[in-house]
Amino acid sequence: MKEVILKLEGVHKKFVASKKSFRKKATFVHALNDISLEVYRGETLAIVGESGCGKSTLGRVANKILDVEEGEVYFDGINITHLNTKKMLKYRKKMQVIFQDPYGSLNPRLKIRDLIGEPLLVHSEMNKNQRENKVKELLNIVGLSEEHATRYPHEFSGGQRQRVGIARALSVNPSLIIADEPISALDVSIQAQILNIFKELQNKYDLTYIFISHDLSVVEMISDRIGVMYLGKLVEIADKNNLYNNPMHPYTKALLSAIPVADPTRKKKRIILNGDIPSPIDAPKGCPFSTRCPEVMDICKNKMPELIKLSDSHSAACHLIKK
Amino acid sequence: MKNLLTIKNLKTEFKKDKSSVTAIEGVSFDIKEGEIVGLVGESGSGKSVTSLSIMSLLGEQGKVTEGSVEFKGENVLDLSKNEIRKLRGGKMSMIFQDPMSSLNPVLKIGDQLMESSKLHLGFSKAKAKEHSIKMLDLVGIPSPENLMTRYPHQLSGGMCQRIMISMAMACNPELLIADEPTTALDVTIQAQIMELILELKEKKNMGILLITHDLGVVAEMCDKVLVMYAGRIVEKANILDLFKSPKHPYTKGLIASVPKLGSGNSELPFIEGKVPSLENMPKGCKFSPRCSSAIDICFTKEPKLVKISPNRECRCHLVKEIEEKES
Repeated sequence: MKEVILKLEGVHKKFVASKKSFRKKATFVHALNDISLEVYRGETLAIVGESGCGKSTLGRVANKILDVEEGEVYFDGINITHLNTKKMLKYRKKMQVIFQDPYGSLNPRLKIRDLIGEPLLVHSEMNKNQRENKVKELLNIVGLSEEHATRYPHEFSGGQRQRVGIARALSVNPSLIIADEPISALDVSIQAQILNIFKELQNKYDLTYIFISHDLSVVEMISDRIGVMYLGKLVEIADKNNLYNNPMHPYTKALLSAIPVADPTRKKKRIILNGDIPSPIDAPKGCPFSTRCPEVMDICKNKMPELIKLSDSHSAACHLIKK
Repeated sequence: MKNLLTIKNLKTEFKKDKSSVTAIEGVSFDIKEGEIVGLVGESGSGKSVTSLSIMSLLGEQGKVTEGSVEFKGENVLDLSKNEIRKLRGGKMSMIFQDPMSSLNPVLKIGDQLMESSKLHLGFSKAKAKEHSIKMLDLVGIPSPENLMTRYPHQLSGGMCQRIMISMAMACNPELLIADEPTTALDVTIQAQIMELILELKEKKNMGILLITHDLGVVAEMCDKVLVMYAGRIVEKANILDLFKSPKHPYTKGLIASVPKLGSGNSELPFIEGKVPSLENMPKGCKFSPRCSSAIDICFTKEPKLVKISPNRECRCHLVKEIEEKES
């Protein structure tokens, strides 16, 4: 039996987009619309989608950086939805975040030693010496050397900074790491290095990852299961084989066919979607994908499809599936 | 087909404090009509400097110190500022990487679009407007009349990139330089834009220089590829040859490190280290510190770009050995 480490139940999150005056009603961006999912211990769940689909918000809600409006979040079987900051500290130690932009997420005024030691200062009772030893150990784990400890972030390249970000997240021995587009700001040859580190660490420390990305070809290498999001909705979630070989939702199909393949001999027919992603402020009624879907039916425009379970490891939200 | 653009031995330097650094050196290639040439490499390899040198957009600090850029038989570098201004945006035009910040945020889309056709084609305001609407229609924008009065911040990234493309296409350019035209966009939008560029190329028979770091995009769009590393072209080949049998160790590493769909859970091969900075270029072959098959000569002497077959060139000391091994 797979052990559930993180569970979201019917989570909603809205952001106020604009409130022009007291009398007018505020408009909202519905960033997460009724999301339910489970993350199992030791697996990598990838969340994929285009910009504005709510994937980063999902990561933040899971870690309680953001509070949810409706729904519940469970971590290790404990409901953390309404915990206050102080009580949350204990759980936050167990789930760490790695951010997208390795340039913006490290304080330029702190030395690497202090950056990596900072979580230890908050979450552990180590003294200065112990912390320094731990930092050295962590630097070695992520493939940097000990003399890097006294340098500043600007002296590092993007790939090295992302390694620092990983070391920082690892410092407090978390069981869940939420990685928000950790490699999209890096060059191809560096991406491969960082991805390999992710895999290596997972085996070594039995980590669970939520890996947020927009790139389905990167995700295939690292993940066990993949969730596809569109405009705040989870439209399909499946294990890797099912998703790549047997995608059910038209959006997943389009997304897969849109990936450019580094093989000029392979000529495939591509599904070109019409139009842009609608603004999440006035998202379409009914299925969020109905405005661009090549197989749209009348019912799609009025009724939101539910997430239907196709097999134990495959669910999709589409009206076409019932037929 | 005749050559549209011929670049010979281009060298560009940038002033830094009192000395100068060389950003690109010995860059030579040509683009024919109706051909898409891809320029690939990691960040800092000199892709964008090459395109800016062609367009004479280097700014105060940069200067082309050697070589020539011939556009339809005329050396662009010899032209005066006014003459080049007539060419730029007219016969030669460019699509920039970041569509959101390349458009002027305080001008309406219409005003920005009409500027080039008024300037280069001498259209009146009314005619320029008509022409711009036609261009917007060409790039697949629904209800273009409404769009003319909007501001860039009201539009999505994909829309802005379409506008950048229609702006670049407005004066029927013969040469289009597209600097990472789809990098800032989502995959489904990227697919739309790539399709659009291919379609426009067919219609107008332009020559296109496509700059990108994404080998997938290159494989789907280009006829010829130039691989750049540390300011030098290290390999030149037809698209099929490059992916079938990459010759330079850097190209091999680059192609191997791209995650492929259907490859499963296997570990990705990667290139150790990073691109050297302009001030600390290694002696000898610029790739030697990262190269797994480097021999002694690689660290002392820089290899030349050698022709290995009619359409292929490679800059590596080991090329002969690789050839022998494979044959």
